[in-house]
Amino acid sequence: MNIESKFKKAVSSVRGRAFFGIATGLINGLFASGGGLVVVPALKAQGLNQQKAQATTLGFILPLSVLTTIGYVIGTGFPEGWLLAAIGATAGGGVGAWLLGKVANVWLNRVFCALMLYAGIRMLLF
Amino acid sequence: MYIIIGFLSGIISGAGMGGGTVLIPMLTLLLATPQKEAQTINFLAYLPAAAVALFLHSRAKRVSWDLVLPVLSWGILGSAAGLTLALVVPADLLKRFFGAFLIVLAILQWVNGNKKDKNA
Repeated sequence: MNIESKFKKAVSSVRGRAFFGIATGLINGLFASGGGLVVVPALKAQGLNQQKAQATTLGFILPLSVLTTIGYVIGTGFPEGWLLAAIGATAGGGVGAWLLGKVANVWLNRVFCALMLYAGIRMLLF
Repeated sequence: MYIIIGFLSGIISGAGMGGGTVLIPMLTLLLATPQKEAQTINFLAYLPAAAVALFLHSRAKRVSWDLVLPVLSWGILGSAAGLTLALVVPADLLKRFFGAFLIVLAILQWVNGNKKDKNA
């Protein structure tokens, strides 16, 4: 059985699809981020390689995000600084894609995890 | 400041890790942006780049749409529930939830990042 049909089997039951879809959607709606960090490993565990897992995750998360963004904008309006942040994020995304494979990924990942852990503790407690 | 913060998180996002999990904490911790507004900014900041990336991936046939489509309707249901919850819950509580979520992600990502890509 090839890798994609393995994943297909896992989400072939209505219950499997419902659980996976609702869980990811909840994370997307509630936290507005982090869905990819959950979905990419799940797809890799089903046999997709890193690149296909990331691409497929985007295909799932982006349509959800478009809808959620509309809801957030209705809720908060356009917050101060959003356009500047968007310009920065788009430029940074290009640099990040270019850096990919040039820096030791394991260490980049550890720095990223340490940042999330530090921020998480501060946001949880203070 | 918004450009710099967006840029730094964009690098991490472009390198295939989470962008929003860095952008949102930087906004709330460094610029004192309220949690819900920070989450809105995150969506707005990443949609354009994500749309371009998805278009390129899809054209290169890296997206398994047959896997995505059956799950999408359930995802929309979950998103609507999550969105409603996010807008209803007090911002301070949402921030603490988010902090707890980040801690879980940090541990998960540490474990996953140390694994080798055996499917490559």
